[in-house]
Amino acid sequence: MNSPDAILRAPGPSLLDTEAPAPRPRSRGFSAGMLWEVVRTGLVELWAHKLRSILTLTLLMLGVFALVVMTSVLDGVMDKVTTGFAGMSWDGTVRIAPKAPETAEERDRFAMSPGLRYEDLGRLTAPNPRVLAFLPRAQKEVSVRVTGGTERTWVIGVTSEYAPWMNRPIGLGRGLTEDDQRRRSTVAVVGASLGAKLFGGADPVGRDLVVEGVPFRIVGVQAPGQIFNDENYYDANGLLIPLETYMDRMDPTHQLTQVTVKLRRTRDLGEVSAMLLGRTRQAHHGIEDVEIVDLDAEAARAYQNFLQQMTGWRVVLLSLAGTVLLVGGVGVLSVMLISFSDRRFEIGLRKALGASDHEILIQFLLEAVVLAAIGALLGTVTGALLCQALSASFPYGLVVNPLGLLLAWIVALALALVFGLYPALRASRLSPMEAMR
Amino acid sequence: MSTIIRTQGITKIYGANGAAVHALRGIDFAVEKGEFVALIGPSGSGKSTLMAILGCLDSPSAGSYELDGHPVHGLSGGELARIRNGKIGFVFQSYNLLPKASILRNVELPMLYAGLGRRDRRDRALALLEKVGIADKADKLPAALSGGQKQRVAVARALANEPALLLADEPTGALDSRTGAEVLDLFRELHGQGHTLLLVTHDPSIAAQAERRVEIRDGLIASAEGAA
Ligand SMILES: Nc1ncnc2c1ncn2[C@@H]1O[C@H](COP(=O)(O)OP(=O)(O)OP(=O)(O)O)[C@@H](O)[C@H]1O
Ligand SMILES: [Mg+2]
Repeated sequence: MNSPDAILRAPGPSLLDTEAPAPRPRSRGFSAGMLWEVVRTGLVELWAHKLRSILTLTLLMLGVFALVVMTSVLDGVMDKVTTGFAGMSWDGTVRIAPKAPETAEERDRFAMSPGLRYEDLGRLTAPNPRVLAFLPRAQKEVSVRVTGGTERTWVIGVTSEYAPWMNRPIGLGRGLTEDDQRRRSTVAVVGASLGAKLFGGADPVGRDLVVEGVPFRIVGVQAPGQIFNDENYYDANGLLIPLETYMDRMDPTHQLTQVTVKLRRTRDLGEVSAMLLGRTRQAHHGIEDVEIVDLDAEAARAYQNFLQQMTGWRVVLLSLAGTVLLVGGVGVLSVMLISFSDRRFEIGLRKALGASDHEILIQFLLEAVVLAAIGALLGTVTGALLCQALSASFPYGLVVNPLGLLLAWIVALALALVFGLYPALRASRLSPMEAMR
Repeated sequence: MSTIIRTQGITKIYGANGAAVHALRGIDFAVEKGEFVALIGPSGSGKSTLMAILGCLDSPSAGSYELDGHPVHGLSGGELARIRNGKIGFVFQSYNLLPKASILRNVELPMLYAGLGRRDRRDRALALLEKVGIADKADKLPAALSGGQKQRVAVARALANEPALLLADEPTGALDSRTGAEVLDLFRELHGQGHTLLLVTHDPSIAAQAERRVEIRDGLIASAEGAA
């Protein structure tokens, strides 16, 4: 320990001299140095009380995590389903298909009709100015044989117009042509999933397969795409062959599963439906054993339904996440309240040394904000990681929803401010003597 | 010589009605600039209460207090904080250091609230620690220091903003006599440098070293002696 003399004789500026107090700058506001002091003190406090900090941080983290993941997943699902609806190409589309008999009487009556057949097409698909395309389709389940083995699948007879109108692009090789239909060629376009199943990574174009004893040459492969309805599923997992070939080789009774009709204008729907029904009734000896489905309206209904459900989910999920965040906010409140009573002495001392009420207030508020920010940061990181992990199952990947992220941060910080305010106010109002007692 | 402390009829009543404690009952008292005054008196006589009022840590129930020529009564909380920060250096019996902050940061604290820049704070705090003889402990936590060393830190901190008045409430009360004497030497040194010093003590040998002794009994000035 130095002797007092050493202090007297110590070199350097005369710090202990009060005769000429140097005027020093005194900033009125909250300086950067103060900010750092506050953040640092906050971190030291958090570190000193790890358990309670971790509890609160976990709650805040979970809240932000939930908000981020939920908004992002909802976005991803929206994307996926919206893409699906768009991919169905059901705008201005009706479908005519055999009707299932509802009563015994109907069943007996329907039996008198030959049903929806290839032969109906001549009359049914006679050119009409309101119709852009008639797309007949016939389908049955079969087993196909390739060099590797046998596979259960579907063979589907369609016209050359089917793939372009129904939005089934070709990935490799070529699609079916009118020429194929005319020549009744035994060629096939395989669905993307079936192609992968049968041939693995290899190029199937030019390979042969045998369907119900009939050899077919593969001329093309469909491009992989979204599966959003049954028809689409069969197409991706089956074989498209020329309609005429199908009728000759696959089904001697010439049954059609449906005829999809693309309209020039959606508002012609009523008239076209009536026309279609009229034409089939004639062919079916006056028996109305088919029905018309307005796919456009059906899709719109389904989409509307979906949007409604999404809104419901959004509300449920956001309130869940909000609740977790709220609990996190209460956690902040209790941490700050405990901290406030733990640190009465410190508050008093800081005030005795010259901290003003609002400096103490800001210190406590900032500590709450630092706590919330750390929680939010952890939640953001974990949320982003989960989004990345889930990314593969969404059409456009799963990116963190920036709005959700912003919302989560705003809610977390706002809660910290709101719940930090009360302890902060209490701390700032303490008189230095009271606090230090 | 100008007057730094002037009080008139200061009273302090704790509690209310039946349970009221009259800690101070009319203190008329003055300290001139550059003086070294010892405040003595039995336990419970009101010394700490008076010091808190003089240090603007508490307000009197009645009476007037002029610090450095300016009445303290009616000042806002912010203005009082500035006075505590810039005009007064307070040394407590129990050191009152922030346990989780380094010695250096403890000394920097009043300068932080004064709005001093980072470098200036650091330089000045180091110089002050040098002056009180414990510069080598700058990065330690208070727990690593002895009582005497802690009180030196507290003195360095009290000097941080070059206060016009140093108030010390039993600064040697928690120290053994040898360390206490060393700390007292430090105070005498400061007095020699021109600091105004008001020091509460129970120890007659310490009180004897002051220029002037003021005794409080039962919340009243009982006697004053020594050069004024
Ligand atoms: N906050 C308070 N509430 C109620 N009474 C108090 C309070 N502070 C002090 N007192 C009372 O006021 C009187 C003066 O107390 P004070 O602490 O000023 O005495 P002191 O002279 O400093 O005593 P000591 O030498 O023991 O430190 C005592 O009776 C004490 O009990
Ligand atoms: Mg006392």
